[in-house]
Amino acid sequence: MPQDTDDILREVTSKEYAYGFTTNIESEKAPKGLNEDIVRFISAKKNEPDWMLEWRLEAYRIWEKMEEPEWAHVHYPKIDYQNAYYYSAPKKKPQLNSLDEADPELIKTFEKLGISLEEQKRLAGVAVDVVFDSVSVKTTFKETLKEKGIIFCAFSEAVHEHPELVKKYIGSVVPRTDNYFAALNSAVFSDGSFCYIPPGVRCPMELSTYFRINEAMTGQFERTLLIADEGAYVSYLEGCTAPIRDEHQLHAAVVELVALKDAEIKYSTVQNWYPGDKEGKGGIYNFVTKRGLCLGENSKISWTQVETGSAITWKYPSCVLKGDNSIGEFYSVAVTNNRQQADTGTKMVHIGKGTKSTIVSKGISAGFSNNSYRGLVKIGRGAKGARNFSQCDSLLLGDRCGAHTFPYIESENPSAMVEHEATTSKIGEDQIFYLNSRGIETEKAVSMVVNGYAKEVLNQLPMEFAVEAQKLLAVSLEGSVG
Amino acid sequence: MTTAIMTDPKATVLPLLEGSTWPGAAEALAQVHALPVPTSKTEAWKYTRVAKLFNQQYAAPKGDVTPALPARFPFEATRVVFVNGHFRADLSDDLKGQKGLVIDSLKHHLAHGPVKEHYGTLASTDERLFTAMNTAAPTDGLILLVTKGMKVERPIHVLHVTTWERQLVQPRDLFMLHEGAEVEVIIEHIALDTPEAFVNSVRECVVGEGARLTVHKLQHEVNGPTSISFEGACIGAKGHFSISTTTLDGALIRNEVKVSLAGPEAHAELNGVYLLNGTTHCDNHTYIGHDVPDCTSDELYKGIVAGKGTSVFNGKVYVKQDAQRTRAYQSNANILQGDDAKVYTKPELEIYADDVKCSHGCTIGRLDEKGLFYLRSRGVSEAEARKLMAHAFITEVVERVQNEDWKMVLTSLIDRKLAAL
Repeated sequence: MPQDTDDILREVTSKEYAYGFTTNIESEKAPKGLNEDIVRFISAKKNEPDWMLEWRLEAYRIWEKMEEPEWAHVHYPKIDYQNAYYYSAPKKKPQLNSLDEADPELIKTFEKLGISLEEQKRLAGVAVDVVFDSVSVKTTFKETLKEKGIIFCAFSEAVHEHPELVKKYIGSVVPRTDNYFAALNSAVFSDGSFCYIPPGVRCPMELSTYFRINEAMTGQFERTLLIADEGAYVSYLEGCTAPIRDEHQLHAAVVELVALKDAEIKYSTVQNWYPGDKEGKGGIYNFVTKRGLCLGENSKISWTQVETGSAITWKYPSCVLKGDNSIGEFYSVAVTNNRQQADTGTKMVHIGKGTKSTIVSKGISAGFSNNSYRGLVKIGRGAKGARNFSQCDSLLLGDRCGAHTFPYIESENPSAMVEHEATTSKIGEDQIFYLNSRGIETEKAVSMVVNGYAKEVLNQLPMEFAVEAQKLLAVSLEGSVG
Repeated sequence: MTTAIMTDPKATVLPLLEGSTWPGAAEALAQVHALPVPTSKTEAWKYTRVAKLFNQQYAAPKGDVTPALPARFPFEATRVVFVNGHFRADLSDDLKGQKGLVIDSLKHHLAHGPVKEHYGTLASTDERLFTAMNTAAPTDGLILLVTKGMKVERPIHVLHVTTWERQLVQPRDLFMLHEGAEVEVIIEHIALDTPEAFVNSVRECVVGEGARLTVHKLQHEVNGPTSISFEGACIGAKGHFSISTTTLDGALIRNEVKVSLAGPEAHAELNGVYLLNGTTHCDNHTYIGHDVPDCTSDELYKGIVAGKGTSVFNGKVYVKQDAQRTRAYQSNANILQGDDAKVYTKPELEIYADDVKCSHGCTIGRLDEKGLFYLRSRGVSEAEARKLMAHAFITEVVERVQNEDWKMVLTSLIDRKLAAL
């Protein structure tokens, strides 16, 4: 390997996190620790009706009996769940109609992140529901959406205003008993987004939420519930950055998607939370349960994710293909660097007839990181004519990182077709050599190869996100040669 | 009120494991006590349930019966016979003939240097209950020692016959190939209506520098015993190890192969064919450890699952840090026939070196409709067309067999089975 590529690699892998800053907004915290009283405290804080509190308490009782899973290919010191705060909200809760009324500190934070609301509003035509330390303080474009009958609001608001929808669908895709972190989230979720698209409506804009974990020592537990009624369409974007903190922060979110007959949901994520420093100090623990249920016939759910952040990622956006001829898709680029660990992938559970799923996963590991793909494709007995194609590629940049693939494929129907392929390699020296010989310098060449490698996934992102994702990839990996 | 008494499910086998004088037996017995019976929660046994094996008492295997042996293969081979795990010199060929070659009952060689050096080194009792059980009280097994540079001409045909019900047979083999040695072994398992018996075998293969070991395993035990086996192999520099497992009949079958590529430029080839119907459950577990640079491995498992058959495949390729220039390929293809057939496959890669080319692929599907249509349009009957297509599907694996004589035998056995699917 030529010397200069080593240098470039070193330079890239030593790049510090660019978004490390904190905002001083006086926050209101629940006492440290977790017990039924804390759950009651959170519920009371949010003025929740009794059924919601009961639901939370039941989740807490379930959680208490569960054990933290250890099967993932990640290592971290045991989390002390009693040594964390489970609720924190910005104290000022302004009822905002325009940005001018927003806390100037808040605006500054978003400006640093490069997601100025004004810009977003004017240029991209994106409605942004800003979740700032778990509490939604600003919802834009609400009026426009209202005209179409679309409900897009904070979860806590939906609990009050649309209890029948929340009651019907909460926990229907990710039950409280699903896993340790889902149970935890169900007990203490602070806020999140709620979205309902009525029958036959095509959401006129990309819905978007920017999450930002801000308060030190606070776990963030948001909960997203998205329902696309018959024939509806929605594209939902989720992006995250979190500031530098020394303590590991726990993030255990739950996302539930429900697609009824002929509905389509496209869910895109760009995640660049603080990954910890070069020695693996600090960083976010991202233990997320995301699942979509294709309930009706011909429904479709598509997950696209670009994962570059978090110290530890434990995330498997999944599709349960229950409706006949429903479609599930999963496109992912996961980049790990330094001491990051990612165990991510998807589950495609084929139940209905003629269901189809596609999985494209691209892992890139550098530094001392470990990047695992873990996926399940399950074809049930009744899934006649089901079809799956999976492709999981890993790219290694550096000889101290790891790339792993753990696919589970189960088929119980003879008419189903399942294909899985995976490759692991480093960037081809011949490719770099070829580009070099055309006068393209190594740094640029690597960037081209990596971009080409990830293109299949990046192409799935909505335009606004694709730009950000490409920037992120460029920042973390441009010029790296393994 | 009755008191619930927690009994160790292993109580059904423990009496048979006590008092053995084989090396390491006492320690292994302690491990049997310590290790739990795997359940579906045990990752390595997720799809294969073994709890029912411990529901009944077993008898010690008897070696003094003389079953009728099948006809010999239509080519020259040195036949070694084991009945219920016991070595039978009287039924075997003359094994003393060749200089530089030891083929014998392992029990008689336990005190010998090479056995002392290698016995137990490739079959750890730390985690695997069945290895611990085997090590605690092996029935007997084959020692195969090929000295430096010796190239054994005739293949060795090891025939295992299981004749008794409700017995626990624990074959234990040790193969040692010195530098540059070459040998080919065909291991055949047959059974005479013994669905309640339990054969738990362990084989260790030490392949020296530049040595070449080729193993063919043939499992066609109609209404046969539960067969759980473990093969541990360690391959030295430029050594070559190949194992092909053909599973045609059986009840509950679990084949584990664990290979360590321990010297540069070592090569491992793992092939498998499984044609399952009835209620046969066949579980192939492979682990290939690329421990040093410049090694290669190639794995190809293909099968057709019909009736109420179940196929499980779990292949893991592990590339250690600094095992650069590794090349590893792994492929598992399945054809599902029948509404009650099931396939569970899990090909894994775990890679800690960067200059590698590793890939795996797996498919589950049915016979290509277009191909069938084409054949039908040429006047081939549907049944015949299906057989042809199935034959073609499996042939890719069989073609890897170098020994032409054996390939012919295998092909005819496979075709006969295909016709019955």
